[in-house]
Amino acid sequence: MNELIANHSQKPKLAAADKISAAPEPMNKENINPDPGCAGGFAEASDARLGVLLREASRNAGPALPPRFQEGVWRRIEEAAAPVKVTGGITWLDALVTLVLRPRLAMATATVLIVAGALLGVREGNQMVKQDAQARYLAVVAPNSLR
Amino acid sequence: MNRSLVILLGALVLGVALFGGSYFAGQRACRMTMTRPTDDLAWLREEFHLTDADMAHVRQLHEGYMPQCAEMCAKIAAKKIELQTALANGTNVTADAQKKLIEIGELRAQCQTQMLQHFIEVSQTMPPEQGRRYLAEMQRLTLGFHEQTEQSMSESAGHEHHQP
Repeated sequence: MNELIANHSQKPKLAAADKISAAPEPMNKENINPDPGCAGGFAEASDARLGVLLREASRNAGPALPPRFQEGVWRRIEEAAAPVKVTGGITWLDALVTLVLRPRLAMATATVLIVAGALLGVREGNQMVKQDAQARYLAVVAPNSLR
Repeated sequence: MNRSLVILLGALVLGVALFGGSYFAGQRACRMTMTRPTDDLAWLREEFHLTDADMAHVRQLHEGYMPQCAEMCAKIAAKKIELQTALANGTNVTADAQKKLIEIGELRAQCQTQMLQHFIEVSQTMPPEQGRRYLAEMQRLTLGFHEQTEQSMSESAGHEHHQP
């Protein structure tokens, strides 16, 4: 029973909404001119005048264009629009130098080189000391004439 | 020349110089601090981790062996002089020169036997594992030299046989 009452009360609202959505819009993209009576005649007159002007312009045009003029124009446009090409690989070298000359990186690299060199040197020195000591012992207990 | 390239090359040279300088400095410092020029047996102590007691035994054996070794070396040196004299008189290998060569060989064999005996005695004063390692190392260093030479010569002779 309650449902019937609700349906009956909602129906007039739906009908009103339908009427609103179906009403003609006075102005949209297709109909810019709000006065539809004048638009058609004015446009036709403008087209006719434009056509006359274009014909006159084509008759009064100057000397003929050089051959392949249009192609040349497009080529120049494309060349102007194309990105500038870098020659000689200078850019990456400059970027590398900029990177290398950063104080933090330079200091870190120098530190790593010094530490690595010193460690390798100590290791090599240790090896050489061992070899010297071994050669010394061998020279005493086993002369070269026996080896 | 491009400025960036010059800077990069300079940085590279500087890096190499830093690495090389620290390498040689480290090597030199290590050699200066660790070398012990007075002790001939320092290598044994370091390499085979010997205690003072082990070193005392080794030193005793070493001092007993050294006069024997010197005596044998003197005999070999004298025999070498005799061989040179025998070879200097003619262009052929004379019977006398051959005899001297055999005598030198015998002396060397005696000396090597004595030397190996000394190595065995020294190895027995060390902890067993270190003793085995010492003996193997000394045999490699004193006897392996001839083996390497003989092996290399036999290999080169074999290669020559394969040549057309």
